[in-house]
Amino acid sequence: MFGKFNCIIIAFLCVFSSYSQIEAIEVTYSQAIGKTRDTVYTNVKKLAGMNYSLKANSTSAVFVRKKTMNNDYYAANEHYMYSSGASGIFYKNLETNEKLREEDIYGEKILVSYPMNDLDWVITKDFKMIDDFLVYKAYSVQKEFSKTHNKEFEIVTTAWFAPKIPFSFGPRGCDGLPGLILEASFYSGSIYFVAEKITIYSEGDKKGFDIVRPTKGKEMTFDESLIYVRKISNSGN
Amino acid sequence: MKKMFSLLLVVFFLSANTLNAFNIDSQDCAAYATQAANAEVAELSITQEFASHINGEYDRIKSYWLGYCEGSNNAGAEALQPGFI
Repeated sequence: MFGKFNCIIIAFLCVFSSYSQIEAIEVTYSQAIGKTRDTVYTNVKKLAGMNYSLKANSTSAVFVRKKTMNNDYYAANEHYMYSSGASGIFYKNLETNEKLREEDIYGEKILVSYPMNDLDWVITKDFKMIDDFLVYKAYSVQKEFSKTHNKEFEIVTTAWFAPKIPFSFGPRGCDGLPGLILEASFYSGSIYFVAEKITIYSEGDKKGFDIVRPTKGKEMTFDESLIYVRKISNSGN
Repeated sequence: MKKMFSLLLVVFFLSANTLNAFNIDSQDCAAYATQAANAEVAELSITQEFASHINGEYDRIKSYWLGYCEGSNNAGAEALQPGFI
C-alpha cells in the first residue's frame, strides 16, 4: 500500500516538476498540404520554404512566418500562406484578453481583433507522439450553409495538443486547448501545420525572446475587417 | 502661349493614356484575382461562403492575387506548381 502511494506521489512530482520547468517555448512549424481538388495525399506533403515560428509562454504567444534565405519556391508557395489564413502576425494574451492579427492588405496595415475562443473543441482519446511529446487529438466542426450548393457544409479543424506543455496556444490563431498545439489541420485536412523543431526554455534559462504585441495598422474587429478587406479586394473592379 | 498650350495638350493626352492603360490593367487583374481566388477555394475543398463569412479568407486571397497581378503585370500567368521538400 505504502509502495503504491509512493509511486503516485513520485509520478505526481515528476509531472508537476516537468510542468513547472517550462518557462517559454519556441516551435517551428512546417506548412503542408494534405489534399488538393483532385488528389488526397497518403502522407501530407511539406511545402518548401514555408516555415512558421510560434513563441509562447504561459500568458502570451506570437505566431509568424519565418523569413527564409531560400527563395527558390517562394513564388510558387507563397500563396498557400494566404489561402491557409496564416498571413500576418498572430498574437494572443490571456492576461489582457486580446487576440490580434496584424496584416498587410494590399499595402495597408490593419490590426484585427478576434474573439478569444472562437472554436468549440471536442477532445478525443486518440493520441500519438510528436517529437518527445504525447499529444491528444481534438477537433472542431464549423457549419456553413452554401446558397450556391443549396446545402450545409461541415468544415473540420483538427489539432493535436500536448498537455505536458501547459500553454493554451497554437499555430495560426488555432488555440484554446489545455496544452500547446503541435499539429493542426484546417479545411478538413487540406492544410497542415506540423511542429518540426521544439525549443524549450526552462526556469533559470536566459530567456531567448520577447513576445511583443503588434501595434501597427488601423484597428478593427474581425467583422469590420471582412467589410474592409472586401472593399480593398474589389478595388480593381 | 501657343507652345504652352501644345505642352498642356501633350500632358493631357499622356495622362489620359496612362489612366486608360491603368484601368484596363486593373480590370484584367480584378478578373484574374477573382479567378485565382475561386480556384484556391476549390483547391481547399471549401465553399466560397465558408471562406468569406467564417474565416474571411476569400477576400484576403483575392487581395493577394490582385497585388500579385498588378505588381508583376502578370495577369493570366500560368499557375506555378507547388514546391515540396
